[in-house]
Amino acid sequence: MTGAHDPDPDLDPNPDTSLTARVRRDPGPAARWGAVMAVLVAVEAGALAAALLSVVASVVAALAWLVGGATGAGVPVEGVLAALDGARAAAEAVPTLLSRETIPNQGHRTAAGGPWTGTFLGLEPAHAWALRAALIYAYAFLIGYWLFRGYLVFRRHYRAAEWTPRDDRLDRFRDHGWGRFGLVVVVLFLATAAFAPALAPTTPERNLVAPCQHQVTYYDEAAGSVASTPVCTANLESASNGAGGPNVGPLSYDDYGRFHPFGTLPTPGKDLFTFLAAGARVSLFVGLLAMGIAGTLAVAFALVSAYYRGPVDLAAVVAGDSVMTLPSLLVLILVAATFEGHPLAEVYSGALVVALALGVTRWPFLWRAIRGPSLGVAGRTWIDAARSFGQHPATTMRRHMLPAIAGYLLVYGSMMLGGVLVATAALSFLNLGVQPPTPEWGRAISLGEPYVATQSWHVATIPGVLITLVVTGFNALGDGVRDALDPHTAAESGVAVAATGGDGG
Amino acid sequence: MSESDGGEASVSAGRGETLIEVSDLQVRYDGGWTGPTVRAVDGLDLRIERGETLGLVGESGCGKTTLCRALVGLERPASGAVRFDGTPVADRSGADRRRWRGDVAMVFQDADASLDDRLPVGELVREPLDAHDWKRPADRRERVRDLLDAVGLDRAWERRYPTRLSAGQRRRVGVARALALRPAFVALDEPVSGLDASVRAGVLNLLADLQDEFGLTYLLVAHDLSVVRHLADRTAVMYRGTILERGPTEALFADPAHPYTHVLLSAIPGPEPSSSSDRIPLRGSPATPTEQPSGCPFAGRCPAAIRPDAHALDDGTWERIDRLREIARERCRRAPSLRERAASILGIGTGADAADLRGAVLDGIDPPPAVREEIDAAIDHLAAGRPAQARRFLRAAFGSECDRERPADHAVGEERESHCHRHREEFDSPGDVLGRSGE
Repeated sequence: MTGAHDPDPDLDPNPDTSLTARVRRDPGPAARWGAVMAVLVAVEAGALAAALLSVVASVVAALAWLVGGATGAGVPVEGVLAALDGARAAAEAVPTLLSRETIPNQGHRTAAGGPWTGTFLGLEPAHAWALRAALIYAYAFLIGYWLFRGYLVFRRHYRAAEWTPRDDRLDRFRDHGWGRFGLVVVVLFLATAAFAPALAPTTPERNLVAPCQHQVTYYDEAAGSVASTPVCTANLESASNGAGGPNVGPLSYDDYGRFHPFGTLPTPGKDLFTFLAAGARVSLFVGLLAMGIAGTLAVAFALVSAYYRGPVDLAAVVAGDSVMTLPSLLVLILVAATFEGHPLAEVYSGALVVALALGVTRWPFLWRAIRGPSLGVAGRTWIDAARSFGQHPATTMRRHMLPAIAGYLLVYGSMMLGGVLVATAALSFLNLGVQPPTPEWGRAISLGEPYVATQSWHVATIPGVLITLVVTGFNALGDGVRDALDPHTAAESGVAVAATGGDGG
Repeated sequence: MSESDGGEASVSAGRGETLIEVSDLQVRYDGGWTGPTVRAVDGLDLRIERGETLGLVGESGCGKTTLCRALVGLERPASGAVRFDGTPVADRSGADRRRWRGDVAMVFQDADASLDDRLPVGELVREPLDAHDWKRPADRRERVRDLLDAVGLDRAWERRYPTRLSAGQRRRVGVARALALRPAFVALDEPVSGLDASVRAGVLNLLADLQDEFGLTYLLVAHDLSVVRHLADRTAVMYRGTILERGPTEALFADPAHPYTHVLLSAIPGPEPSSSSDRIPLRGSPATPTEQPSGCPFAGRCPAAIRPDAHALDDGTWERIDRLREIARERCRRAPSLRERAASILGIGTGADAADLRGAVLDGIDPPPAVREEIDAAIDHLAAGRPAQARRFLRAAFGSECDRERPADHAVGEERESHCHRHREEFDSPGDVLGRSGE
């Protein structure tokens, strides 16, 4: 804590300067930070541009579909989409550091026991893949750290205020071990989802979606020569089908010289790691969209009902409680069954419907969690003060109430995200929700469930452990954020004891 | 009247005309489904002249803050009207009401809770300007600096957060924000409570300077009577949601008219400890104003209450009767226990209670038999768990004008009014009764 000296010599005597003016006066730290950031972005520029373009293309397509559906007439966007697709292909052609082209792990021996060809520096596929995966995760953490570092640079050199209440919260979070653990797990999960195509030993397209249209080249020991076969044939040969059947366990090669970090799935024998990495994207999509919908509804209800109270509050309570009384899983099953065959269910193999259904049924839980803080802040005198000088209710809610509940929203949102992931997986386990070929973690568990007690134990166990880990990670992150926001609860749970223990002297 | 400046000059200056007029104002807080409705402001009349400071004094919970809030439009009156510059506030709506919001302002009692601690000081002071789209952003920044200068805060404080400010500084920020739109009227709710003496003097002088500079009209609410005496041109004494006495501050402090004013002023500690012996004791606790009194709101606790002619009793006996009435009032207020309720339904008195009451009321006095009969009957009602009946009975037996009629406005001096039956010619004046006639 810096003392509140008065007058403070460090304080900018002219508070009106803009951020650009402040940076211009002392460009050193910003330039150093920007240079490193530019390098970090440049090595992945192609992938970033491609990702951005594909998001734009999805949005254009969705808007066209919406407008077309509303007016009954098709909207001619094919040209735009084709242009976007071309641009994306061009962006993908730009070499990036962390791609499978730069560090390839798919190759084959040239002779029995002989050296590998096609892999990075002739390394064994396992080592090449491990190197790439390690680099990708390191890159993800580096980017995350550098963004945070950017905030620190801003705070130290360019922020107009010497101190804001956020600083203390950030410092508290930095001392929160459990919260940091959660953050690490969440970053790993996000990195897996973001880098899924580059991270997996093979691509979803090659291995999961259209395996029969791709070839795998391998050294055929029986024939004693290098041969080629469709991926789907190779997959069938390397499935994990439990006791008595073939099995490719974790960290092992199949007969085609392909390395499987998590082993393979049962027939038709897809690669489990590729499946899970691609599935992380689906989970993230469903989780973020569902929580986005639930969060928006919850915030709207919380702010409006806390500001106006009375009948408005009562109506919100009745509406929320009505939704809460519905048995969640049954409603999801009903929605999944009802939308079968509907055009909406074709978006992302049904992930969109699952996300919408989860968002619409989960908001009351989130709303209940932030209702208390909203009512608390609505009762503060500063809300009356805003009213007394004629502030618009909407502005009052946004400026004076939303920041006070945003932290709680983050806490309960991140905790509830775990529940959404579990619900999505549960639907997939029941063969509802997200449909093949789009991978989903719950389906992997469902596929491996008969083999848990056999040599193919890994099929269900690994995704199960991962779901548990990710959900725990989000909960830990939420715990950390809550303790950072509200040190009183932290003091009760003993986290602050160490901090206060030194004050005895 | 030009509206183009965002209301800045919309209220023409000129002292001596009425800026705010409150007539028969009632503000109630609904107690929900189970609780009683609280009459925080109960039939209040008030007039505030342009450019003056009206002091408002009274004990905690008498409705001072509620009145402030009603004047700046934070409370919706149950009945009655607040007129600002001749127009009833309730008649203003839409853009007109928003413009009026810029003409009135309030400095809140709790400076901590009235400043959003997530926004820096500059943003807080600027917010009213933003809300009213006051001129251009550059002008607003300039104005914020001027305001901070005006309340004596260095402009460097603009980017500090309220949690880093001292109590006095926060109070100054609250004042700066209230003045941002150059209001004509500012309600100051305990502007210096909780500040230490030097800071208090600073804030008070600041308020006086700002009034001179901008021609502001103040309603100054304070516990501390010396603050009001120092700053207010006129003073109003409030009790249970209504004004009991009002007049020029000096005259009112020098020669209080209403018995309640006597009591309040007698509670100011004098320079010597011995002078505290002049203090007039006040019986009972301040009543929660849940019911409308049929007579004077102060009657139950008044040390100068008029005694009915029907009984010629000595002071000691009257004191005991007052005590009994106080007990009845208290029992009406609190919810009866299960046992008392059962006893009331069965119509049986609890003997011990009756004996206790008799002891407390009758011990050491010897009232005439007729009076004693009345007292016994009231005690029986009380012991049987019927406090409301006991109250009615006692009022009928021992009540006077004070309990039956609301006192009229009595002119008690130049521009002075007091609501007390004792100002009528047939009674002794409150000052004579309390032995504190104007010195």
